[in-house]
Amino acid sequence: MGEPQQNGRKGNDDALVARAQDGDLAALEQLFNTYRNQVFSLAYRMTGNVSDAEDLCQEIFLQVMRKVSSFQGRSSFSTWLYRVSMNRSRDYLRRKKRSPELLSQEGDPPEPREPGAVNAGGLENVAIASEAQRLVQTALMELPLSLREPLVLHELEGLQYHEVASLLRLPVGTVKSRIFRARIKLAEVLEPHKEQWR
Amino acid sequence: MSCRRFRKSLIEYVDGELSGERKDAVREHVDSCETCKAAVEKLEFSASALSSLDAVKMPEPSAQRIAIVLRTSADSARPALHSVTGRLGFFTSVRGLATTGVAAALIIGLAILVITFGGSGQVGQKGLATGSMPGSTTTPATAFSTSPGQQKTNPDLVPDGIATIMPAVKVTNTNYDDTALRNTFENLDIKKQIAANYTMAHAINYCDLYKRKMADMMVDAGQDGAMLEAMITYIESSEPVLLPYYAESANYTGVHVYIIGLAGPRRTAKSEKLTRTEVWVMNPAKFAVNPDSSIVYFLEQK
Repeated sequence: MGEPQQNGRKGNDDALVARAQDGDLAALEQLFNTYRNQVFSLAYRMTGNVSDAEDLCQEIFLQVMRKVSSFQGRSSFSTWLYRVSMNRSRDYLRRKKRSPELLSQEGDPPEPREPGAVNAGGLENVAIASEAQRLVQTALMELPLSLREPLVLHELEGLQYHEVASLLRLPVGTVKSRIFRARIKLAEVLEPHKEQWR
Repeated sequence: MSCRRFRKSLIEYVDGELSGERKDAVREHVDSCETCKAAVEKLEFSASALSSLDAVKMPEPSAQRIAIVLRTSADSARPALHSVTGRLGFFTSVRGLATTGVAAALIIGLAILVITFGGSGQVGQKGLATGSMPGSTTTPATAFSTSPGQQKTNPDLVPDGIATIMPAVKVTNTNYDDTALRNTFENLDIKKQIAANYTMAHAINYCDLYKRKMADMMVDAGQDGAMLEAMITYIESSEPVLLPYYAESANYTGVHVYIIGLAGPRRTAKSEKLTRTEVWVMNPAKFAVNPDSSIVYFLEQK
């Protein structure tokens, strides 16, 4: 996902997708292993906590598994995966808004899934490493979705403006304008904590 | 000079993506415009703040868990009966069953018969235990019976005689982890009884019946039976030949869950016996929002 794909990677993806469409579970697992970190990163930036990001990732990859047979290759697999991820992410956040009590609260420590998992460092590896990072993530969550989506895709996932525009089905000018507003807003939210970055 | 001409270029200017005359023009404007100068400072600050974020990786335990869920879902989506051809071939899906009037009538008839005359009293008394380990559950014999008339309706599908094994439903405060869950199901008497005595025909004929009975038992225990029924329906939606036989309201690593045990035939073996068990650990709070995200743990024993 993210940067324009190198030909080798795209070719590899195409082969894996073709096998996955034929029901090859190993191919699906390879796609999962290839893209799990990118999808998780996007999910984490959009939801703001590890627990929700995990759940969202599970939904995304289940959706991929169910829909991969309908993928026709008109775009690259990574673009298609981004689209699936963004759609599921919107659904997830909409549901969270409707039923916040049913989902993790922002800032909650992740639920230990397995005994010893936290102590083994698995979940804590993604815990925010510094106060500055926590502040930025919190500030991201204060942005409305319409600003957070293009900001995350462009600034954090590294997509070009036209790629973001295509994914979000917006004109490029609108994408640029929203990213501008998102960055201004982010700076204003973080202004009281500016010393963290000096 | 109007700021609007330059505003769109400020991000590119801050991020160093402008060059030549355009860059010089923007710089000149920013130097002379307090509004744009303030915007540039904010953009620079936000760039600095965003660059402090490290790459995030999926935690390995999460990756393993999701991989298991994917594998399970993929397996479930495949036809479960590849070892069987011929007489049961049509009944490899819920839809196949649903479109068969005879089979539907058979299942409904069975359900009515059992609910009306069958073992609701027994279920309430014996199927439910509180505060004990599943391994200590004693499952009563001879719970359901099928009438000869029903057997005549479709002799190929109705197992001989009576359904001799009752499903079990429990409410406990047990806090499981994967090891405890595995040990529990390895020693579960009802699982052994089903593996020894039941075949795919039992699963096809009794799955709805057991599901509804277990939901009733869960209601009797003061829990959400409809939730249990919905969970079993969700599990069986992708693999119809599974017989639910065990449910427990308990905790899994501190989270309230429903633990559901289902029996099915082995995927590769030629035997029709229900020797394979699937254990689904599901979070009821999350199931209400999205079933896909409610799967906490999955275990398969062959």
